[in-house]
Amino acid sequence: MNADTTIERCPGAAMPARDSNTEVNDGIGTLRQGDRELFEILAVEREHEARLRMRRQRRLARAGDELAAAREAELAQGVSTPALTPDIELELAARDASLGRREEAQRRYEAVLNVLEASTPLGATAAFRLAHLLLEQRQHRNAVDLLERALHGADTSLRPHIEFALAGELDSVRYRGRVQELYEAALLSDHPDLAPGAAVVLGALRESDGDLAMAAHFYELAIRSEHPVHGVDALARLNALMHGRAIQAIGDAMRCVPWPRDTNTVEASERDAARVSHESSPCCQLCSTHAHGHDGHQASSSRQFTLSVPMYGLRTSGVELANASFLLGAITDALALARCELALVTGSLWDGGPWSSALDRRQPGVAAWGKVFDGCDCGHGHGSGRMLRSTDS
Amino acid sequence: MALSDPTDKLDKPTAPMAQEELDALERSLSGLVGGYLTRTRTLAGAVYGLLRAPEGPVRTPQIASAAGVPEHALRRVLDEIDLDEAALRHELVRGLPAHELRALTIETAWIEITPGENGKWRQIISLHAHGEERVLPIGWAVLDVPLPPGSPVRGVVELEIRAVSALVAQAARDYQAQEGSKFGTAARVPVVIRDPAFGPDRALRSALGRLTSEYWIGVNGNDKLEEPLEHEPYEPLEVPASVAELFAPVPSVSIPEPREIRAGTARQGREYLTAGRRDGVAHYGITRPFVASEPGVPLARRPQRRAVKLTELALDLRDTRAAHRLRLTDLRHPKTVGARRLALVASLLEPMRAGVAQVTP
Repeated sequence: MNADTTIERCPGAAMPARDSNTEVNDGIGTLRQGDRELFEILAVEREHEARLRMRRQRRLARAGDELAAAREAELAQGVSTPALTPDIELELAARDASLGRREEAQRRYEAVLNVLEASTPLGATAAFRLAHLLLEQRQHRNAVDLLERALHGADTSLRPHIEFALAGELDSVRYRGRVQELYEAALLSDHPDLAPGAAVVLGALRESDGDLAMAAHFYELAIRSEHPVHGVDALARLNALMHGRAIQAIGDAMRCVPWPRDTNTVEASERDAARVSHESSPCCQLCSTHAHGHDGHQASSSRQFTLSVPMYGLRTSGVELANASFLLGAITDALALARCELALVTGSLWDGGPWSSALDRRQPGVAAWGKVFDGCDCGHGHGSGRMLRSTDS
Repeated sequence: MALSDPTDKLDKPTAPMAQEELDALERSLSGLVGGYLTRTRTLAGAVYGLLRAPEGPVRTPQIASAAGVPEHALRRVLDEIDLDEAALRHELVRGLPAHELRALTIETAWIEITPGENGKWRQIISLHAHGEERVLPIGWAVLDVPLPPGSPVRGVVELEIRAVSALVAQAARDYQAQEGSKFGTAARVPVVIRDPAFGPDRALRSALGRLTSEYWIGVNGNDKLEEPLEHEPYEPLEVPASVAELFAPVPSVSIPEPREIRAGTARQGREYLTAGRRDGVAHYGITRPFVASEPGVPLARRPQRRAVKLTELALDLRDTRAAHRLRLTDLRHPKTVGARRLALVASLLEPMRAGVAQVTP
């Protein structure tokens, strides 16, 4: 098949417009009704030449012959019109934009949008690209309007790009529902890059809402997608979330059981561990119950616990899931002091998450902790906490 | 057949059989298709006669004469009697267990049976099991068609597709019969059709898609894909004139990023157009990779990565040219059933020589 002799009409291309302006632009002049056939032939020839020139331009550009490629692009510009070859116009506009000729690019995109509605695939592409140009010029409102219009005509390839771009431009506080909806649509599109990216953003949004279980869920989706960029990003975020919550939980635990200042010591060791020895001063009946080592946690209630110093830092680089096990060890120690506080946190994080199995392995009586804090009225919110998984039922 | 030196062995015709090998094959066949002495002797003799015949077209009388068996007996054994072909195939399958399988490949060879304008053509389709160290033909289909290769006649293409599908399904059944539940764990074996003769035919892809989770089908560089491809927002919107234009220039070392073929509105059952070079020549194919994923988890770039792996595999596999090596392209047996049976029996010879099949004496 000879590629150069193939003439195709782009699916979104309209037939040449009949108004006089377009005809003058086409160089055909005023044609009588009887010249319609000739007009069609001329239009086909022009379309063919425009495509041929752009094909050559692409080949020359690929071969590195920029001068010849530029010449072919100019020749294509001479014969291409928005009505006849809108796809070539879009290509020429993208070329203008990449060469820094923004006004020219914008004019071409607008001309295509005048001929084709944004509800057609080509029109949607024009609107999307024009929106990008406008965003560069900080015309935020116009760009958002264009993206909204483009959404109606976009095909399955373009749609996730528009959804992602639009969600990124909308105010995530004011239009929270709409933003989440757009990111969820991008996630459902299963686009190779945008879907995992949307999962990460959705996780971040849920994290900022305080919905840690859903945040972890979305991060896990991105991690399991094994995307080289977003998967790693999600992993770091999930670890940071875990660390942050653990630190907060430990802090809460320490507030729950205040430390006597004079007995607080930090010993240097190979792992910079801080061994803290203190007397417990329970603030509520539940803490008191625990502090006295009820329900079989004698070893943990020895009023001493060890925490690794690096745990206090939010190390987001090089953090791996394996750390969760170590983290659990530390949390378990803390949990022995203020299990209700931690159960409150971990219950929302681990219920059904990847750590639930690790937790079950380490702590056969995990659900018992959940039961303890239910009904606590110490003022630390123990009573409102969620139950952990009922593994002891 | 050991593949320690594939380039040498795959390009050379199979060596003629010695008398001892004839006896060994006869004894083995006796164990496989029943203890009829005359039948097994005739079958083994047919292979012996085919490989011993002088160069050029080989007809049934020549084979019978070289094998020292009556011609009518040879015709009867090949074309008429009830022969347990499944037993022969199972023996072949046993030579390469499922856990050693890298891929199943389909190859086609054409013979001009009756020359001239109103000629008749025969298509020999073979299915091969590729392992790390050896490759075996494990299934054959022979079709007589009134048109030369590449004829875009719907009926002929459909016939080919049915034959290919039947071979793949048969191989799965043979492995299942041999290995039972063990085959289940190794069942994800890609089917590779490197020959671009089938083109980007959607019917073939659909048929294979129902039978196997992964496939790679060769296409010509100047083929034009009828289905649209997924594209990025700043890509040229003009439909490429050919597959080759999409990938030009194909890198000499690496596999370029596969292009996803758009399938309706959902990205399910994704297929990819891929390209790669082997021995300096660009090859193109359509592949469907399999990626296990939990519900809701984005597939991300895993299908692309698998598509690249499948392309590397397809380019790495050598054409076995089994029909040429076993001189089946010289065979002018009038009936397709006889040609198929002879191909099946002849396929036992190389595993027997390599000692990988249990048909060794």
